[in-house]
Order: sequence, then structure tokens, then C-alpha cells
Amino acid sequence: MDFLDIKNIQKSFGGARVLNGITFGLAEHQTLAILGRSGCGKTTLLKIIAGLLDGDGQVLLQEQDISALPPQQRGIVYLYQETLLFPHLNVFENIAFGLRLRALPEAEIQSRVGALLESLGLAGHARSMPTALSGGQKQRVSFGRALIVEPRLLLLDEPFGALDTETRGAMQTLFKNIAARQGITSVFVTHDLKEAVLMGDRLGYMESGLLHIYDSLDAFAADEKTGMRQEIEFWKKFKPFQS
Amino acid sequence: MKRLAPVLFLCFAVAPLAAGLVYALLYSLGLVGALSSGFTPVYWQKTLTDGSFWASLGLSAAVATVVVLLSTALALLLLVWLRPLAERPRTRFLLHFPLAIPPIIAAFVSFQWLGSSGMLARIAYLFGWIAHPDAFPPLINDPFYLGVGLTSMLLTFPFLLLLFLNHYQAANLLQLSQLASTLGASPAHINLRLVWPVLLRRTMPTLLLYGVFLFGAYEVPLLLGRQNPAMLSVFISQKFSKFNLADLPVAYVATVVYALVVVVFTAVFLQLNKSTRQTHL
Repeated sequence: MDFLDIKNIQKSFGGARVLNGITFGLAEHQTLAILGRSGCGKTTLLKIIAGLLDGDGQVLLQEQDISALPPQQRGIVYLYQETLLFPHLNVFENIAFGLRLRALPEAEIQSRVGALLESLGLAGHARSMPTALSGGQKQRVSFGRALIVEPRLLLLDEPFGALDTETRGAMQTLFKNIAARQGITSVFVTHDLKEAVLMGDRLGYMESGLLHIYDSLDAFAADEKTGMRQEIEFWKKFKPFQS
Repeated sequence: MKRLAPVLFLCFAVAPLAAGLVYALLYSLGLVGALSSGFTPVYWQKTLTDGSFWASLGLSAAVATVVVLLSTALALLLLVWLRPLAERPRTRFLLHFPLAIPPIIAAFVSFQWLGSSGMLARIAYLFGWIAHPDAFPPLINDPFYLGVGLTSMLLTFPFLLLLFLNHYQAANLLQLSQLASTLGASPAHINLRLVWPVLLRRTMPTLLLYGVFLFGAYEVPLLLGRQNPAMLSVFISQKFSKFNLADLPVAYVATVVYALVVVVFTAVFLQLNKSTRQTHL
């Protein structure tokens, strides 16, 4: 049995079917990158896994059926495209939020948050308010806030979509490093082909409420609808300017 | 036009008020008006040593503070239950409805409900809770200003509820709450650690200004409050409308003190608001 088992998830809004029986499994410490166009149901799927939306079907995590559990008892953190930092808290308190909910001793909170701020390169910003941070810094705080509670599963809903190319690249590298170091299991949805390939240990493509998981990168590239082959062809034709 | 706008604002909004305040100050010092006989501090001494003036000032501050605090608490609690319904047009209409009621009408309504032989008294009598309608505890012109407080709350909390609902949306609190729940926050945690603190910080300036507005409320305390001690606006009105001309300067002294209290309060609030915006939102 997989670490995460999704069984026949279905969801309709009004009369429109958004998810059409999604079933997949994900092993521990792996990242599943799901590629799909806007409106294909990626966000709905993640929200059902996180418990933020009701849906038919089963969500099993470490062999436990969590379908009926409220979000706060699932051990799954959902990261939005927007950083959604708590506006009334500074960087330190944003990251400490989940630890304070668990009523940990103050010394432990100080030490864990301090260490995480250091590893995220935010040690000098502990007392800064979210309005004083750049987009990349906000995203790092958002990651820190999610990672510090040691979630069983991390759901990332186009988390770098609002960042410029350079910051986006830096954040992708940061996430890859942290995921590898901490053995994070995650589902990463994006509509960016390159990002999906970079971030995923496994790759999936979602369309019209259906998800197809590929056995390998080659299988993913071979499938016309992922757009990877066209992308490769484009770069093959590309001729650099010659002086 | 950009340069003209502040001038127009000064001429038509600030200048008349400032002129009135200066006139009140001069009158209170015996420099102008029917009783003018040259500079004298006697009216200020008389007013500032008058217990009923301080009682009125304290009473107004207490009523305004209690009403704002209780209305805020009530509106924040109702927000939790009403927010999911608030997006429906009918609910929105119902929430806006109390705002259309003028204070004088609200005072009359309260009079009918809370009076010693009012509707609540009759209902209590009907159910046998009291021996006769007159046995109903006094809620109008009562020593604890309960009638004034309840009526003011009736007017205040729907406004605050709408204010909180609008800020809830503007601050993206639905998504923030969902995110907090995935971090482990229970619904109670979400309200205590996220929704209420964010809303209070965002609306603090309006809450404080509403307190200033209640501090100077007139119609409700006039109809439902006691005449002695009276709330400050009623106290000033009594001094103005009495036939005793010697009371006029006292009314002006009270007006100047009232204005000073509001100006100091507003200055403190502006400073507070400035630092809150710089550091928090």
C-alpha cells in the first residue's frame, strides 16, 4: 500500500462534474507533480485531500482513512499560490503559528523557529512584518510555516505562480533541497511544464476531471497532450542569434 | 483644483467649527456674550468644581466604552455564525436594515419595549414571571443607563457586524482560515488567533471613532436616560436651554472641555493608527 492512497474521488459543482473518479497512489518521500491547464480540477483535488472541500471517494494516508477528518486533524498542509502570510504577525510569529497551536514550550519554539529562519536565509527578518518582505521572502516564510509543523503530506497549489522567473527558479531549488533533506511527501500542481518536470519524482497530467499518472519521464514526454514533445521540438528548431 | 480642495475644506468644514469653538472659549471666559464683563475664570472654576459636570463626563465615557466593547464582542460572535449566510442578498438586506433606523426612532421603540408597562413587561406578566406589569425592573431612565446602553447597542452592533464582514472579505480571511486549519488550528483557534485579531487591528480606527460618536450621543440619552446625572450632550443642552442666563457660560465651558477631550482622543488615535499601519498591516 502507498503512503498516500486516493480512491475514486468525485466532485461536482452544481451540475458540472469537476473530478471524475480520481485514483492514484504516492510513495513516501516522493513528490507527485500534476500538470494541467487552469480549471481542470487540480485545486479541487488538492482541497479535497486537505479536507477543505467535501468530495466523494476515499483519502488514505499511511493506511488510515482520513476522508471524514477535519483539516486540522489530517496532518496535511496546503500551500496556496498566494503566500497568505498572517498580516498581524511578524515573520517569526508566522512561522511559529503551528507550534503555538500545539502549545510547545517557549524555549523549543524559539530554537526551532530560529534554526528554520537560519536555513531559509531569513534570520535577519524575524521581526519584520509581511508587508516589508519581497515576494521570494514571503514565499520562504510560507514554506517555513508549513515545514515547521512537520506535515505528513504537503500540498502545493502552484506556489511559485506569482513569482518572477529568477525568484521562481531559486524557490524551486530551495524546495527540492528541503524536500530531499527532510524526506517530504508532496503533491505539487502546476500549469508550467518545466516546473512539473523539475519538481516531480513522478508526473501526472490532469484533464477534464481525470488524472493520468505516468510510469516514467519518457512516457510523460511521449504523451502528446502534456506538450513536452512540442516543447522539445521548439528548442531544437531554435537558432541563437549569430553576430 | 487640487490646490483649491484643501482651501475649500478649510473654509467650509474646519473654519466654522474652529470659529464656534473660539467663540465658546471666549464666552466661557466672559469676553463675549450677554454676560460679558471682561476676562474672568469664574465660570471655569464653577464648572470644573461642579460634581454633576464630571459625573456627566464620566457617564458619557463609560456608556460609550461599554457600548463599543459589548457591541464589538457581539458583532464578532455573530460574525462566526452569520458569515456563511451573509453573502445571500436577503441576509445582506436584513443586516443593513437596522442602519436605516434613526436613533430617535430606536429610542421610541426601546421605550415601547423596555418601559415599566412596555411590551417586555406585559410578556413577563403574561407568563406569570411578575405579579403585575409595574413590577418589571426599570430599564428606562434607570440608574444604570441600561435602556440607553441596550438601545445604543441595537444601533451599533449591526454597523460593526457589516464592518467586520466587509473587512473579513478584504483581508482574505476565508483563505487564511483554511490555511490555518491545515496548520492545525481548530475553529476556536482560528477565531482567537487569526480572525478576531486581524479584524480588530483593521477596524480599530473606526471603533475608536464610533466611541467618540457615542460619547456625544444625544437623542437616545435624552429620551431614555436620567436627567441627573445626564450624559454630556444632554447636560450641555440643559445648560443652554435653561432660562438662567448664568448657566450659558457653564454650557460653553462644558462644550470646550468636550471638544478638547475629543481632539486629544482623536490625536492619540491618529498616532496609534499611524504606528499600527507602519508595523502591522
